[in-house]
Amino acid sequence: MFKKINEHVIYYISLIIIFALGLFLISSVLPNKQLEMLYFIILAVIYVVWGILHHFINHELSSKIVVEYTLIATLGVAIMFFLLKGGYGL
Amino acid sequence: MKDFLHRLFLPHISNNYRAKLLHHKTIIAVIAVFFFSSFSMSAIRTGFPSVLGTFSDITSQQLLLLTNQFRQQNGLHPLQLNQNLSEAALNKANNMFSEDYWAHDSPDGKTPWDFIKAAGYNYVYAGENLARGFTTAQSVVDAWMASPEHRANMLSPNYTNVGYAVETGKLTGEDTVLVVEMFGSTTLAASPGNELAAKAQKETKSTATQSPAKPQSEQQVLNANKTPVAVAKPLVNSASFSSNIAAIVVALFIFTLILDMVVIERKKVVRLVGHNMDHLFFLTLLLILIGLIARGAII
Repeated sequence: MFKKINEHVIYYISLIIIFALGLFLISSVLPNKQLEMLYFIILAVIYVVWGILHHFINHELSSKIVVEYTLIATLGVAIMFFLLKGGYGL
Repeated sequence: MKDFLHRLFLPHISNNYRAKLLHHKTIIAVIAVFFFSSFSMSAIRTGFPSVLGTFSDITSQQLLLLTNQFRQQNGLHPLQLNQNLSEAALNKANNMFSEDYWAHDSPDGKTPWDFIKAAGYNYVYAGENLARGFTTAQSVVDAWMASPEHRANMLSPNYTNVGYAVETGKLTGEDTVLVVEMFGSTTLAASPGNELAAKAQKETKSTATQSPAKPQSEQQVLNANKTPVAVAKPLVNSASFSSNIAAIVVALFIFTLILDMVVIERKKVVRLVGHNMDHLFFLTLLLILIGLIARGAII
């Protein structure tokens, strides 16, 4: 498992940097719920693109993988929407 | 039941070596449930505010008690609850809701001191702390005490009076509980360093040409006495409910992804799936954001 992580360490570092920037950006607009939602959707889209690129570069890309990254990103958006719309009346 | 949980969380031959929770169909179902629940909760909030809504257990008395506890621990005199300052705080809270802003000064340039003066409190020193999205008085006071600027206001020897307003409403697109705390003193403090300290703490010191106190109307006194208790408390706090559910579901996915990763590595199964580690990073970010959003804000 650790060998696998080492093989992809550059990708993970780039992903952590993207997420850290996203976290900083979203924290800076707190407690504006509309902007929080908007920035999170943008971050989710970037995540899908990043996932596709990652697998494309490693010659592992397939439609199943594209669907998987899209579903995980959509799950994140759905949970965020539930939190902001259902919980805070966005 | 055991088999069901096994298939749901652990990769096995029966679920094609991928935990059932991570199957595309299951994720689509979870997404659908969350979107449906978002609109259902929104409809219940509007149609049945006594069932689902925003509320807090914060009261002026609790805020005063906790503030004075901190002041006494720091060797300071306790603050007295002042009706005029409470009226100013209530008017400020209502103005924030009606003008829809989250700041000390209103978009049309009204400062906290304008509200204090309008309420008939002739201050020599005055200050304001704001909080939103908290559910208990303890969490509000703790957040203020953790911030140097707010702490300076709470522990300022210049103040003798304080007024509070705890109001629920829609602010910058969010149903929230707003807490306004206004400090004041009508007499000049004896200590010679007070003027500098007052500036450093963002307090405003009035000049000698201060406008005389306005007589209070009966309505103003009634407003000052208004407390959030008058509003029917919903059965469920929607903010806490949604953040707890969201956090539990995200944690469950994180747990399943980790289990999936460990078991597959041990069994040396080759699959064509995305990297669990990528999803773990994404869901961890989401969990952090849920925590940040659920936390209240102060200015």
